[in-house]
Amino acid sequence: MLKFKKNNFIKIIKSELMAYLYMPLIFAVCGYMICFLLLTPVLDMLQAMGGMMIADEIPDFNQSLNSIYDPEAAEKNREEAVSIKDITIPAYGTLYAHISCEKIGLDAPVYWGDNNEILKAGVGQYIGSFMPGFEKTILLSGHNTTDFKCLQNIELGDIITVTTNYGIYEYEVEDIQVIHMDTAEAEIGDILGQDKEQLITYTCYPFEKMVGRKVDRYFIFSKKLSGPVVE
Amino acid sequence: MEEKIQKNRLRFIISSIMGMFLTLFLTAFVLLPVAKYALFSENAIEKSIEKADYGNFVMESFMKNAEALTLSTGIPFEIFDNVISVEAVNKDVQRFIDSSIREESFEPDTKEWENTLENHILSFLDSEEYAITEEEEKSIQDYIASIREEYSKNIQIPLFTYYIIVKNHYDSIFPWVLFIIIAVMLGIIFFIFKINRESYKKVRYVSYSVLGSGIMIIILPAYCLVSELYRKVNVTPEYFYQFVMEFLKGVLQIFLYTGLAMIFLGVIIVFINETVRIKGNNRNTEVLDQ
Repeated sequence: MLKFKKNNFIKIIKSELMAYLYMPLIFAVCGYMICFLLLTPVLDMLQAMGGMMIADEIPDFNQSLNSIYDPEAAEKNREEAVSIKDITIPAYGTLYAHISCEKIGLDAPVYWGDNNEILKAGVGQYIGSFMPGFEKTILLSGHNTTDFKCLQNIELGDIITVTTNYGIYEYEVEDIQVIHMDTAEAEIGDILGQDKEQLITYTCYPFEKMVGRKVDRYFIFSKKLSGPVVE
Repeated sequence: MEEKIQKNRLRFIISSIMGMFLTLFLTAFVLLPVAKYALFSENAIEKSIEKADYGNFVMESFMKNAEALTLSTGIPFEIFDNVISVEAVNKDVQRFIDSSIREESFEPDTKEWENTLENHILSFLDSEEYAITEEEEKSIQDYIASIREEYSKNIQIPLFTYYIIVKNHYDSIFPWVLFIIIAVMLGIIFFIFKINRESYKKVRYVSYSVLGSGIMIIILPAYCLVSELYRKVNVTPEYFYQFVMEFLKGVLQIFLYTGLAMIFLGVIIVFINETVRIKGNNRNTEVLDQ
């Protein structure tokens, strides 16, 4: 009788000790469920905020500028038309072309994008404009103290060459304008939508070595002479 | 006998429900002060700034932006040599934090380095035998103003003014919310103590709640720390990201340690409660043996 009571007692102790494991777990799970129910009315908002605040991957701030430009490929490609399937669309900050004008000594790499880092490395392309061959506007910018310093010597009729992996494009300078930076955005914005291929290169103006904010921009408008059309 | 079993069952169900609510309020009771001293504290911010090497990152970012502004002027970037030090940046960041906490406007004191920068520019133009006209003198001042603007922008911690608004709001409601939580908790504990006759059962439900609260507090910070979710925070520029990441890591670690402390406290309560109960049961068994 006594042995039965002792065994029973140990069983009870064991089962009650187990309760210290599962009861807190049940409490915690129920607690989370209550919190979830309380937050239900604002759950969508919280999810949206979370989506904005949390990225899919750990951000990489050490991204260096890449390149897909291959001068040999450009030399080989002499077709009159090129399929869009054969073109690699560059990622932001990728070197994909080369701009040159022998007469004025222009010879610079062209990057997709136009942030400070890109403009330090070469010529930047506004990503709202098109790559050569798309029969749309190509908008390139550069510093007037480095790559585009030589633009001050350009004249009407001069030929600017843009070399890409899928073809070599030539443009003839047909207009040069100095536009105030405040009005430039609206004026160029209108041109960007046109169904006509033209190359617009611009830089800060004036070119003289002087400090301060250069509020004018030196725009060179060039029409397409040759180069494959992207189909 | 049947009626006694029914009563015990009802007592268990009510105590469990009360214990579950106690878990929630206990979690809130612990998290509120921890949040005040980990999330909304000047000290925590200063520590994160130090850990993230904020001054150096700000300096680096400012120099990059200043270089971009300088590139279009034709002046070599060497004019910035020995103009601004990391120590000065750190001091200005600290002054920005202090002003924001006092809800005052902030303007960094840039006069000293502005003079040095101007002297460097003039020396360079002089060495180039470049004649400075009145118009160019104005341009120099414009350029320095743009650098000052950039510096001022870089020094300020993004979104910090919003953080201070939330902090002040939190500080104002904190004592009241804490008071209400304590009152509700005491009410629940009193109720649990009232409906249970045996003293070990009274304490048992409280210990369940303490352990449950510890588990609740631990789960989210542990998940965020193990999955490194805090590192995926989507903020720029880099110096602000480093600061936010260090700050969040610190806050999550404090929450995690708090949860562990709660579990430790729960285990101690369980240990004492069970020791007392077993001793009491042994005494009863001895009486039965005799």
